[in-house]
Amino acid sequence: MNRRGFLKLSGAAGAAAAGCRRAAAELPESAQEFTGVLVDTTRCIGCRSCEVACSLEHGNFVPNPENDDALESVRDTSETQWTVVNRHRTSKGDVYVKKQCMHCWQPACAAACLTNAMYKTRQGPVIWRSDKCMGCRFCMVSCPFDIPKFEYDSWNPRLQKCTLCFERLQEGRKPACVEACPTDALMFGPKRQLMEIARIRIYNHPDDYVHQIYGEHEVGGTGWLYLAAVPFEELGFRTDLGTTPYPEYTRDFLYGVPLVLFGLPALLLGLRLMADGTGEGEAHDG
Amino acid sequence: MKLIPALVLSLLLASFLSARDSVPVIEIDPPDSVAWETALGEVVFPHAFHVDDLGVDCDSCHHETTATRLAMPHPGYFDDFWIDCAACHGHAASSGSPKACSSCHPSTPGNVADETSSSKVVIHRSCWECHEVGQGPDASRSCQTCHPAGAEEIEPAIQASHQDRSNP
Amino acid sequence: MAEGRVMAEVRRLGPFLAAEMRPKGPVLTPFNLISIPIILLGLGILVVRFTKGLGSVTNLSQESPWGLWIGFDVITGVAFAGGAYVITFAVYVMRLEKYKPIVRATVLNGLLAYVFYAGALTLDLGRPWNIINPIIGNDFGYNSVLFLVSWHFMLYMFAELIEFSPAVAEWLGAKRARRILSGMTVGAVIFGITLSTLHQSGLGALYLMAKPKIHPLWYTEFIPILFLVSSIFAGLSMIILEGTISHRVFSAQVDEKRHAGFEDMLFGLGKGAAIAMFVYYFFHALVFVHDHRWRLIEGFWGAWYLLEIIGLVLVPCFLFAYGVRNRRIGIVRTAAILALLGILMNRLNISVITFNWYSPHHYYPTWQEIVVTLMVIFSEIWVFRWIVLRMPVLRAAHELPSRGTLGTSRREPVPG
Repeated sequence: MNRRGFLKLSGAAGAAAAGCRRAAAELPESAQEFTGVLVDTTRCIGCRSCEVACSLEHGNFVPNPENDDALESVRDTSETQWTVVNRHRTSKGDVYVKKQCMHCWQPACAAACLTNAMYKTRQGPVIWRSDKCMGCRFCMVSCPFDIPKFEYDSWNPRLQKCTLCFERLQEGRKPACVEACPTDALMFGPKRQLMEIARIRIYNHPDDYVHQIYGEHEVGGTGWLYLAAVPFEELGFRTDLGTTPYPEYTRDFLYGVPLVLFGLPALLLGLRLMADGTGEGEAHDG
Repeated sequence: MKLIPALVLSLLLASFLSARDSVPVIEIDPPDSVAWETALGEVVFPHAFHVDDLGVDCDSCHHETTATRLAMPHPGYFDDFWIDCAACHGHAASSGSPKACSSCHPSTPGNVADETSSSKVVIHRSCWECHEVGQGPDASRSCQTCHPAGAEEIEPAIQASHQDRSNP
Repeated sequence: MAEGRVMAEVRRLGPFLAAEMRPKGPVLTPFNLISIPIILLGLGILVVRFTKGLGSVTNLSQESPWGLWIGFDVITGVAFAGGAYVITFAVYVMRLEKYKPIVRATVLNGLLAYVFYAGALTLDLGRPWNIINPIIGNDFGYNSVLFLVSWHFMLYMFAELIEFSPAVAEWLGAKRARRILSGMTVGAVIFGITLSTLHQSGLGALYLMAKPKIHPLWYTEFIPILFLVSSIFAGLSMIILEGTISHRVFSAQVDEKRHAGFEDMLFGLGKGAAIAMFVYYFFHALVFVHDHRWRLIEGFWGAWYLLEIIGLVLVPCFLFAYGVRNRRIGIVRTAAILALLGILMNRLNISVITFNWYSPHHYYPTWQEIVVTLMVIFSEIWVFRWIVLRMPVLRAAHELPSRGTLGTSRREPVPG
């Protein structure tokens, strides 16, 4: 190789290296792709380090996985724990499944929120903004996964749910749970890449997985994707939620609003004029 | 065919230029212990204990990496495919002495799809070949074996949580 | 010069208002004896609620975020208050003068209902001080049905206030103000009907996204339309019920002319209710057929559904028709009560009873929730009574006993 070729290559390599480094768990300013997490339940050993890491990161209730009996029953997230790992007894043995906010692509909670306190960020995570919330709990009514949890015992209650460690993402770090997982049961990245990994995994190990990625189409697509070796119904997932994004259920109604707002007064005025048969006009109103 | 060595050279340069992980040359004398900074505190791996006292073979953990060179009819595929085939099928510096895990298994994978799993995962899996981890609470308890510092660190937080209120 | 006029007005109004503040009837009525302790108890409960959080006085939970206060006070109460927009439509748009005598009372009821139910809603909020956020723009949640509903509530209260304000002006003897406000009535009415149409159906639209959580016998994409139509006959039935009660309780207030025509009005309202209920039933039948709901008619929920649709929609519908046809006012009143029960059942079913119906935890209200709800209702009745006994609501302005103290002897035209 001549000198020019060498210099070209080293330049390219340097650029590639620099590019590699930037792509490592960092979110460029202009990032438009939604990020998400792939959960491979076949890899999860139920150590619950993710629960501990999440609570440590956000000042929530830190469980004691070594000594508590939390896995004896199927739990839900709560106002003191943003994520839980549940053990499901299935046809193929015990399967551990992490539960948290799904960070839907078109979240029902964000559409429901009249103050935009529940907010879908450009990077993908759905966060709750304290300064706007008035605690109406309409997000709780609307979420198909029943995720937002309310602090009923506080005079200044907050809505508690997973934020995909949005602040950590801003700093270029990964979510705490993903960082803590020893088996890469959790992988963080752009959803597109996660989908490809998931598909390749199923393709390469067709007998080890159910041929479905939960979250690909459910409720119009979610940020958290799941792979499993058993049907998802056995793992506590709802499979009757449909593929329509939930905000679409209210779209037709909201579209009708301008129509009524401007059409109905005209209609009413017209009716009144038609009913004014005696020609007495406005004489006896009020 | 100039492309393959060029590619190898550029990959070497890339790994050299990016400050993430370099290819260390391992001396013949294995280190006494290896310390890693992890998300759960510092882990000190008693290397000499495993090699000398337990008589564990080098290959058991530093698995065979000198796979044969691939005769790829379409070498351009190396550029497009995110899986780093050259990690095993192309490194020139394989002289038989064990490499550090991080030479192929990065701590922060450049690409989330990098199927040459992250060092965190492969080290765990390697250890778990012998150290039973189990599932559920057994798995939780086994973390302490290697992460004593981390376990100590979070103990106060757990105590505080359980004193304040119990999880509903 | 202007100052002199203002001072004269103040001198006139001062003693007038002072006199009006005094009780206008016996203080120890049965209603007072029951309502005062409940109101005071409710206020005490509210102190606990605001210092210890909603969980301390309610049975709300993560599975049941909305309970009695939303399900009854707001979702049902607003339907009951639908009489205002229906009656103003009849009188000011369709110019059916026959119902004019009842407009003021109905509009007053509607105004008070919205004010008190918006108040009840505020009590249910976790952070009521942030209720100004969607108003001032922190932030405008355009995609939210609740944003629309809350804004419409607010604007509708203004519209009703304007509709009712001529009565207040007459009470204060402010003739010029009365003229101006009367001129705004038609505009306020049209605005009010538009807003009502949107927020009555909007209350139903709130549940559109709760599709997987509401029992399939009650969930349909047409919930908004069903809520709108049911609010029509809910309002009419409420006018019949409240009108009947007011007529008896405040019979001294009502003038002779009104007494005579009262039953006639009720029959007219009953006719409207019959038709609205039939349309509602027909919509339900359409949805039933379209969604192949036969397979769902089984077990408790099937029976519960049939009770609501047949027993509390179809039956009162026929009773209304029968009662009007045969001039049997008792049957019309019974129909009204059954219809109101049907609305209550339907609204509670959707918002509370079949919400998360498969969950092992079933929500039921605590006694504190019930007491606070009663407190809201009783407070509203107190205000209604206070206004009716003083302002020209059930009778013309010139017939008010307070007229003498205002020092005017000129007869004013009968406001209707």
